[in-house]
Amino acid sequence: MSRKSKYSLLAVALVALAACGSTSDTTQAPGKGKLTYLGKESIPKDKAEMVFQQTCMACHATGVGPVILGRDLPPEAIKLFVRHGNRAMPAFTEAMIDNETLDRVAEMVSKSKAPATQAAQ
Amino acid sequence: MTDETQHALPQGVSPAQFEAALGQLRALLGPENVLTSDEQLAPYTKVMMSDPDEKHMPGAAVLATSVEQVQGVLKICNQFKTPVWPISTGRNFGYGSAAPGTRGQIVLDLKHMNKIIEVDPVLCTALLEPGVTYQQLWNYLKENDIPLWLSCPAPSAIAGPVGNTLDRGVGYTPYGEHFMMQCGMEVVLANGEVLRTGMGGVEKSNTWQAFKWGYGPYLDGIFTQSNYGVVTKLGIWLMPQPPAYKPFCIQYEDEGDIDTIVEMLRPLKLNNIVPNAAVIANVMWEAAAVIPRSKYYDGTGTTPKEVLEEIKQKEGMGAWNVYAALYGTPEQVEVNWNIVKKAVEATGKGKLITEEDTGDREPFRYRAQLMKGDMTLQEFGLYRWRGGGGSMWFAPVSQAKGSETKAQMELAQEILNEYGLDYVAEFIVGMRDMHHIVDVLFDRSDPGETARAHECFTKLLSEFGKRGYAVYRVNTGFMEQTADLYGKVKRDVDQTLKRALDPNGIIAPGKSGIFV
Ligand SMILES: Cc1cc2nc3c(=O)[nH]c(=O)nc-3n(C[C@H](O)[C@H](O)[C@H](O)COP(=O)(O)OP(=O)(O)OC[C@H]3O[C@@H](n4cnc5c(N)ncnc54)[C@H](O)[C@@H]3O)c2cc1C
Ligand code: HEC
Repeated sequence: MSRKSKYSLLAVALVALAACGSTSDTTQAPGKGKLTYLGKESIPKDKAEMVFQQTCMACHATGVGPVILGRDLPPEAIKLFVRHGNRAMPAFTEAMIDNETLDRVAEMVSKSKAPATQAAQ
Repeated sequence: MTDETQHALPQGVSPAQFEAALGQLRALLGPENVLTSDEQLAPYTKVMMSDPDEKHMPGAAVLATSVEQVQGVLKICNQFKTPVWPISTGRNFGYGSAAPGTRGQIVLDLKHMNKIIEVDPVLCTALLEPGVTYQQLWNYLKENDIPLWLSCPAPSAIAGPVGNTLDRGVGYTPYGEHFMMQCGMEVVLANGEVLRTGMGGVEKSNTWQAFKWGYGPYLDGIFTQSNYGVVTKLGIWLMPQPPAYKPFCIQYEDEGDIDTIVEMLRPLKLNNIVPNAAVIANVMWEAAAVIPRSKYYDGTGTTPKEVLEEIKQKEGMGAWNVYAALYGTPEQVEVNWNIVKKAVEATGKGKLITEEDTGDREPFRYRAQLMKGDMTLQEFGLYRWRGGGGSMWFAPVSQAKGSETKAQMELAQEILNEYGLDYVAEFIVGMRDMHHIVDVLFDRSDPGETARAHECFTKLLSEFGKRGYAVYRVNTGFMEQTADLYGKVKRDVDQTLKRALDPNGIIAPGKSGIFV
């Protein structure tokens, strides 16, 4: 098992990402009143959409992970991060997210527009 | 990409023997379900503990989709003496993740066995395959309008009830002690036989998920935190959605208040006023969910006390933050709320915070989600506190007595600070015990800090051990040391069972310190 190849690949991916804008954290605006809980309507029908919303965005739209939308991140780099994980990011196996779904998720992230909260910063 | 000569090999297994086993596994499962390339194995090698990756490098990973395939895998493993490390969803972060306990074991990944076999909305039970995630089950309940709640650990969405329960994990609802709420399992034994525990062995039985104990010796326990079989089905109990739910927080100013808090909470918990696995989170745990440490401190060692004071002031957090909830009819909740208010008042300090005060603000929001079994990954914020992705849970069990929790807090702090690390901690409230959970966070990309974390963890185990305290669960790097704390006779009995049930030692050697 060669660890060297793993780290050199990630290093390349990191350089690629560094060129794609800042990684600000999103701390949300304080609110008063009632808590909103997610219901049935929050469940996407499409498999890639489901992974994107229920997995990636659970960390990347909540400030846990850096903003990854609207940065033109290259799909190959996104996939490397998902498969290898990096530092605080967990890795995802093929059994968890199959290659075809990951291709589509990477496309979605890569082509996404910046979220409203990010634009405001 | 595939380099067949470079597999990590299990101890005592020759490359030819290993290759032969892989050949048979490919024939059984199809080549696409036998993963050997670096690329395919990469996600199975990402660990967070201080042990080097090499020690936990899998030789391969195989994906099974049926009980028959699991039986077939174990047969091949017996034949070639190649061990397998079963995982369900493989999200055992901070305890070893998806990587095997020792080098070269083949990960037996059951993620593709992901059928929700049955949810009984009347008895409020579920029968699940190992690959089911909490998110999948949550989606299923919502989509089918079944008013039942899950109890999940903080990695909720991406982890699963079978793996979590088999490692005796915890959640935050009244069903938070997961193994207590487990009922019936199906286990493939090393010899290929399929055991159904509890009522499951009775032909035509319909009480497998209704009655835990069955007849004669109760066996389910020996298949948790162990390596005596591969679990292929698990029954769990689900909680009926209550008509009213009231999450709340109580903040206490001083570290020493832990004593007062525990004394206040114990009667509430024992008398079922606060029925859930409530938590008492310290300021760093609380802060980590919303900010990186660098917002207030850019040093590398232990976070200074003044900085913690500043965070408490500016972020509006307590030294200790209790999260608990009330469940029931609106009338019951009202009565119990008054009891809680009086109990807090009687302590002469403590600030009560409700949903009306905070709305959707974190960390209240994610705590409220967890206490009703909703999906959230907010707690992963812990990993940006210091950064670098190193984490080991140090989880000693404490009596639910204020003086004891205080003594454990002081001891943990002293040892962590000696190594320049932080006391990022919570107590999870049990009936008579507390799971004292310390996240030993370190920068895993820094070899020096990783080595310090390793030494620190060793010392935490031994110093706590000297005082009669031991952890309820531990990462794969420290399973031997932990097993020793539980004594020789326990280790001998564990081994006797291992030899009887798995004489070739092919299932997860090293799990909980058990070898054949
Ligand atoms: C931020 C954070 C917060 C966390 N909070 C919690 C928490 O609140 N509560 C908690 O309990 N944990 C917590 N954890 C730890 C861990 O991530 C969870 O316990 C998680 O549920 C375990 O992963 P899993 O469910 O995928 O189980 P798996 O990884 O699939 O299984 C765990 C272990 O059980 C055994 N096993 C699994 N399946 C089988 C099988 N079919 N047959 C035989 N043996 C098997 C194996 O030894 C395996 O390593 C937390 C981790 C993080 C990072
Ligand atoms: C459990 C939380 C979590 C989940 C789920 C998660 N990520 Fe991440 N991700 C992180 C964190 C944290 C980082 C930053 C890692 C570090 O540098 O320590 C990160 C980093 C990344 C990066 C690199 C960004 C940069 O600027 O460096 C990409 C790309 C990425 N994630 C994509 C994804 C995708 C796609 C998914 C869904 C399949 C996903 N992540 C799911 C937590 C998560």
